[in-house]
Amino acid sequence: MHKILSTKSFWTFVCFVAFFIFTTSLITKLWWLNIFTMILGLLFKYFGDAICFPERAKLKRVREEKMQSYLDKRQEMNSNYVRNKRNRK
Amino acid sequence: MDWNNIVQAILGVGSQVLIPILIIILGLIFGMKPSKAILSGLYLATGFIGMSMAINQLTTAVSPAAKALATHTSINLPAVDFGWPGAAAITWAWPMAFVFFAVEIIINLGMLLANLTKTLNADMWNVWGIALTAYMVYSISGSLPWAFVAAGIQIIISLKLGDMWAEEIKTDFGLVGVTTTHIEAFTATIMFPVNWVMNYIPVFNKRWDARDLKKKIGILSEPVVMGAIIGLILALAGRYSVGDALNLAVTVGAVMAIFPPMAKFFMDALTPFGTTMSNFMKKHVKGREFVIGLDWPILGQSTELWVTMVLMIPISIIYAAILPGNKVLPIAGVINYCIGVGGLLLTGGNLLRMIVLGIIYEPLFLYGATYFSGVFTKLATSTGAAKVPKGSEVTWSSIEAPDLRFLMAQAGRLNWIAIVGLIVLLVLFVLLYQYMKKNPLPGKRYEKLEKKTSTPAGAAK
Repeated sequence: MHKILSTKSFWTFVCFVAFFIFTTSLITKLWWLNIFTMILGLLFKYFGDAICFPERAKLKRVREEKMQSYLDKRQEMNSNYVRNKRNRK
Repeated sequence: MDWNNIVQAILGVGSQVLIPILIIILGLIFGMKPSKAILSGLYLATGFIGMSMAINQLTTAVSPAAKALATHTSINLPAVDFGWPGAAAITWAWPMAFVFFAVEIIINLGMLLANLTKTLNADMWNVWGIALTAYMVYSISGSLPWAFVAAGIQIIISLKLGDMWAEEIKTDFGLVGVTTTHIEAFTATIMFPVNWVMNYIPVFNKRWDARDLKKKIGILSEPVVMGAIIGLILALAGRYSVGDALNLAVTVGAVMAIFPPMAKFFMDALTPFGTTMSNFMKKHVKGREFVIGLDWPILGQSTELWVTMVLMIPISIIYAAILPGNKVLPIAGVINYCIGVGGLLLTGGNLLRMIVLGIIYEPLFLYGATYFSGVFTKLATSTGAAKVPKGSEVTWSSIEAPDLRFLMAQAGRLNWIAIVGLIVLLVLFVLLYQYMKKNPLPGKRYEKLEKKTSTPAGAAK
């Protein structure tokens, strides 16, 4: 099962099913069907995307880590500033 | 041979067919295997069809709620908003519209040969936007040559926008070798000064992407939930029954959920295409890079884009009700792509900046729509392509580049203030272009800003 879940073709299938349900809901006006569109869409977003596009996920992670390290540095600079100010007083 | 009919027949198939066919042809030219080129084209078509269906459904579902809200709050605005589909339909019915195909191709090829751009625009379906500008300028200024010049200016801007966004689309969206040439991203130009001021306000220089927002407000930041809540509020404000309100909430939520799977098809289509193209250029044209200009839905994978556009729905309705002199209630154009796409690419997905910029600039679109309502009505009536209710007008509430179109139209009447305004706007565009070229990656841009805004700490050291 785990093997199937980590294949690109499985998630492509999930995308097609989500698309199919969405189209069916539009044609039949059975809007409640969209609950399944939501579930499949969210599943793909949180689990399938990284499997289908590992390179992009890696790139995103690197970018986020870089951004976070800058924000951490800034926080550190800010706390230094407050500490120095207190010391001067 | 009636060229107009031939072009209209080709365009009649829509962008979801036209662009994939162009991508298949270009893929084959760049040396893709026929099976891969066809698969790329089919995936792209699936992505475009899915995206268009979702966007149309969003508009179709939200419009009646907006109308009901207006009725129950006694907002009575004379101009009917027919959105971009209406604007496109009446533009293609203008007999001269097809000429701008040739203008677009000639300018694009000329600029490519002169090495003035690296963008090859495949988004031929959106040539109607250029024809619309020409018609607006012609209608207001009465000068056909100036209308062609204005169209030319818009084409050059579109191609430079394509150049400008290419790097960001590659690194932030993972789409190699493609860009968006859509003129709606020109909104970034008018947003640029305010966005620049935001660089010096610490709160705007923190992480404000969807992931960060999730840490702060949890599940509420999920576009599916946010869409459902906005849908529910709109429906209840429009006095829908509970059942209908829940239906609207589920529909808006589902539209938000369908975007990531649709974006997958874009990636599947464009990744092999972009890689092949890049290899081709490395092999045959050393030192030159090409990107293919496509329609904006290729950016549909961005959560920030949809969150901003959905949040702007109630804001635009409130603006329509309170702005003095406004004549249009956003209905078919209630989803303002200009603010979403322009803000996304300018800020690199900084949600707080996108929403604040949206709130600041939304009136520009409503006033633009009000100003051009006469032109739209005249074109709709003369071509008969759209029905105009008796005693009322038609317009497009989220009209693309209203500032550029207004200034070009007025400049054609030799209005000196407009001429100066147009020059200022174009200078602003050049400044934005240089700014984006200097710091093409939003991540890097914010790194720099972090240093700037933390100057007091540095001084204390």
